Amino acid sequence: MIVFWKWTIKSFQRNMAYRLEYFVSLLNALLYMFIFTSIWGAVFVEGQTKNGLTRELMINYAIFATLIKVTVVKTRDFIGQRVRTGEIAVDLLKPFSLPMMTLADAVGSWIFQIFSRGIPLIALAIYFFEISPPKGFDIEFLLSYVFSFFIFHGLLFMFGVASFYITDNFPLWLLNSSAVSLLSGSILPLQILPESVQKFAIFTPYPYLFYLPSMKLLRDDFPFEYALLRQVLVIVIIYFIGFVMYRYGKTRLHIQGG
Amino acid sequence: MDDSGGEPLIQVSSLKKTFRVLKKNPGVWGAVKALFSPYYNHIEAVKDVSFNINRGELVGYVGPNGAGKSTTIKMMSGILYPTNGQIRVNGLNPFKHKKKYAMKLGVMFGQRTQLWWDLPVSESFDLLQAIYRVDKTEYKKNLDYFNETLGIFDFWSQPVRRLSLGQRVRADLAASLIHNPSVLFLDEPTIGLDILAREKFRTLIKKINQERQTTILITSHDLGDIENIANRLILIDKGSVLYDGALKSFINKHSFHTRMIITFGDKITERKLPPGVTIIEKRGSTYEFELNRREVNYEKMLAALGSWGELKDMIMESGSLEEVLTRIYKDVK
Repeated sequence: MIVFWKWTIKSFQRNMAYRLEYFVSLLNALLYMFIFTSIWGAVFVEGQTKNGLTRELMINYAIFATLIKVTVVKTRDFIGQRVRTGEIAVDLLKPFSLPMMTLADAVGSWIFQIFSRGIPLIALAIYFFEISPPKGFDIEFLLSYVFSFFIFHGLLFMFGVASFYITDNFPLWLLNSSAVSLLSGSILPLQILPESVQKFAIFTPYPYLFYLPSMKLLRDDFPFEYALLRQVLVIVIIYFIGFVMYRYGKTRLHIQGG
Repeated sequence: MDDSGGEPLIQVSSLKKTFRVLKKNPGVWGAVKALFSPYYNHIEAVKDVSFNINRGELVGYVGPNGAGKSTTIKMMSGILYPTNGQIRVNGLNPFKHKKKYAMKLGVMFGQRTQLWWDLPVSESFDLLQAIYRVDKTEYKKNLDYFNETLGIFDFWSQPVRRLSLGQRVRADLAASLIHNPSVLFLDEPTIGLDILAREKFRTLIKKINQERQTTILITSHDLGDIENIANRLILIDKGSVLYDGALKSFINKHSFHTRMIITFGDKITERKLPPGVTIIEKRGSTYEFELNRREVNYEKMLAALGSWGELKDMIMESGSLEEVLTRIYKDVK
């Protein structure tokens, strides 16, 4: 456990190493909020309701879904990148398991994002968009938010481990990013999508990423029964697949340069 | 540290590694064909490698590019799974006893770093101390030792990305030894280092081997590394062992060329030399000859030179590992 936390702290420190990257990503998240609040502000007329969604709800959704997304999403493909460069060799040498290493790395980044992006963005959102504290901020939301992190990390681990089989996992990484954009609710709430897409989406892990916690935060009437349980089930399935892939993948790993 | 009883510390038997590689024909059509109808080649990187290494030995593991050196080391390190064969180090199987095994092993890849690129050197060592559970007193003692021998405190608080190659290699070597491993694998450790840094590195490796009784296996394309520090040589090519034995015997047995530098007295009369002798250089009364010992022995040579004039001084240099291996690699090709 000590190793895990030390690794987490190092990951946190490493994220602090690049100041420019930090400020650019903060600005990027703020622009993202401006773009989507402007879009929804233009699409919805004041007082209008579409699929049970109002203008105010959509603007708030854009802000909170962005906040959840920027704190949870990690853009670095830890395993895939290291397989491509062959650096995975030095990770596999250590008496510390690779899955734990990636989790510790992700937790470090996550804590960093919460403090460095999440909190300043909330302050900026209060200033620029005059948002009020959401009604659904409670322990259930917090649990749902933590579970979204584990779902995202599980997906990242699964797609990362795929590089043990195919070396360059970039196409899968791209597919995952597109699926996150379309189905996770980071841009569009699920009920805006065509019904067939919605039906398909619930059989994927993506709506459990951002849509569920965002809706929990914003809507009193959102049917949240068993939502946490479903998130846990998704986590178990993703990690199970990831571990099986890892177990067999490491026996067929190729390392650059012999 | 050696808990393997009277058995060799490292036992490698019938090791084999086959890689499946996608075969692509050239051009766009080849790429499209490979997409829909992939065809794989099976490449035997290591065919049949067996050897034993005793505690405290310092072994050079050499071979041309693609011979299977790095693949063998990665299998011995527990990173790559062998297609066939057995590896036991310290009585442990690297794949079954991964954690215990890793605690007793140090590995350094010259082309890769185990340090955290974005953080100061000290932070990586702090993490390594936790990973390998190095006792605080022992950790401090080791750091002092590596500072004394490698000067790691000179760049202790610099981010790894800002280190020079020499500094990075020094830090990586210290990192691979911080937990007092009983076995150390070095894969191209001096790549890119200048002459002075290489010399320091070799001295330190010898020192660690002697003082700590660390068993060391080293691969290097700089044969000076092997010649200067190893006592034993394992030569592989195309995935099979060609030679395994004492380094000196190998050179003596396979080296046929000797350089002879002779300084004559004032009066020199150049006469016919025996077959197998060539003059490389003349500088006044000093001549440099090369002898092919398969054609001429020293007795014949000295007898011939005696007729040239009075011999005032003589230096003889026998063949180097580089010379021998160059010829062997060419013969094998």
